Amino acid sequence: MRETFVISDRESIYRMFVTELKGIPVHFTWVGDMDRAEEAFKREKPDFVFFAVRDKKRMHNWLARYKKLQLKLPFICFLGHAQWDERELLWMSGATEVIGLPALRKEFRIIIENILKRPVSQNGITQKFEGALSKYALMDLIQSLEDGRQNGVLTLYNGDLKGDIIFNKGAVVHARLEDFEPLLALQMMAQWQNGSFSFEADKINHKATIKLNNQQIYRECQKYQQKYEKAVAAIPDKEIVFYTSPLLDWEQVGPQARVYLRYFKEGLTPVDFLDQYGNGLLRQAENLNAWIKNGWLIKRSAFNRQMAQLEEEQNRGGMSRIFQRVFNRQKNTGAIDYNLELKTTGENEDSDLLYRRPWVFHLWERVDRFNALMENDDE
Amino acid sequence: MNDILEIPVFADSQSWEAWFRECSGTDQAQSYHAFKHITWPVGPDLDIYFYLVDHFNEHTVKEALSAIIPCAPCILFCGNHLYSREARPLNNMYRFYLSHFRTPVVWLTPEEFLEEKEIHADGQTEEPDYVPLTELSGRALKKAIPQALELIKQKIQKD
Repeated sequence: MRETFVISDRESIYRMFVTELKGIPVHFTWVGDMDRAEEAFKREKPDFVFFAVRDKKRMHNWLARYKKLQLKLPFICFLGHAQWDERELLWMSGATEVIGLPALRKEFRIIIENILKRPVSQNGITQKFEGALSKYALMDLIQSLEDGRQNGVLTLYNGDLKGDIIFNKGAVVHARLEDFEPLLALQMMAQWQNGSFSFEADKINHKATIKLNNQQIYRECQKYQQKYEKAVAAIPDKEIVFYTSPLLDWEQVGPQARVYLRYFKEGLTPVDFLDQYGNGLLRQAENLNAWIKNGWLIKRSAFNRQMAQLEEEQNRGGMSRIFQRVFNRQKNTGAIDYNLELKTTGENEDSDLLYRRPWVFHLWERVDRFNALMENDDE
Repeated sequence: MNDILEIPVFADSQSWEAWFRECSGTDQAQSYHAFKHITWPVGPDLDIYFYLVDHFNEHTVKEALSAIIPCAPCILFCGNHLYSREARPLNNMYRFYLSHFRTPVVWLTPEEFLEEKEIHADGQTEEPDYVPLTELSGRALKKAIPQALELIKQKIQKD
């Protein structure tokens, strides 16, 4: 279904299009005159624009204003009876077709059908293109695909991770990364500094699961990035090698944490960990911080100390080990409290908020108008 | 083409539909799968659309309103028994809502029920904003809705 804006000051013309062009897969929207149309273009970009106005001066005025918007959408001009030179002038100004009304019904229908049949973007990307994420920021990629009104799937690779961002005529409509919610998946992928991307154009009308427009998505991603950077900055001694504590009881640790903590067994810095295994999830950076605070991850000196302590215990006889355990239970300072993790992550309420849909209302001018109308009503 | 303000409304009984219709000066409500749609033509170029949810179903609410709720100025929760035990279905809706959306909520409830307010520890972390209704009628709603919007606006300016 092609979306077409009918710009005309008369609703009857719009009605004529709707009745005469019944059956063609085109949806018409009457946007009113050019003043109103300018507002409408800010909200939505159609596939076609029909200008229908009898007065030629007005037609040229509207076309000049339309050109200023730099939308590059194909448009058709509908005039009253027009001489050849007048038509030529409109063709030169970029009109796909100029049609004088009234026209023969059948002829009119055939002309419109043929024009609308042509593909929307003839200069669109038809082939695959690829690149490295270190050279192009994801937001810039989205912006350029939006400008080109591209339809297709942008696939991002980061280590073992693979995510997709799906575009419908330049608008981001869906994102996939493991089992994460579409918006969160997009926000996570926006944090990827390394890896590669590839874009494959298609002509499928993808189902929209992200209902925000691209501008709102940028804002959400920016907010997320600030939080993520804050969480990364809060990690102490990022450049120093950490080890998993040998005293850690692996059964007390959650399955996902177990996977990540295993990477630290041979020693790894938090920065390298985020580079190599980071998926961009805010909680991952927060957890790293919590693990260090709780003593699950420790520095080299503490690691050596704990290893020595363990070896000493191993060398002792069985009975003395049991005595040591029983009588030193209260004094044992090296033990790890597994409840601590919950406390530290619970402090940050923002991470919970991430899973809720954001509030994006901005039309306060309408609320003011409503309140003013209601006040007048009271009087 | 009129400007529109869309306000989803969660109500604890079907009677609210009649009061919202009275408030909007219309006797029509379009029925959809998950909600009822009432149009209130406020001015020559401004309409308010109410989306009334009086039968709670997580899936349909998410499917039908998840695009509208983030773009709404606020969400109205209408209950005859605010916080009390009789209001369990509405409280369930509220808890579901809080865990999925961030659009601010205003409660509309009759004045006399404000006194029997009872805050449960489960799931409610803060006292929500509410606007008392002088009576259960369309007239009272007509006064309360601008107050609710004003409340949210002031809260934002304060933040």
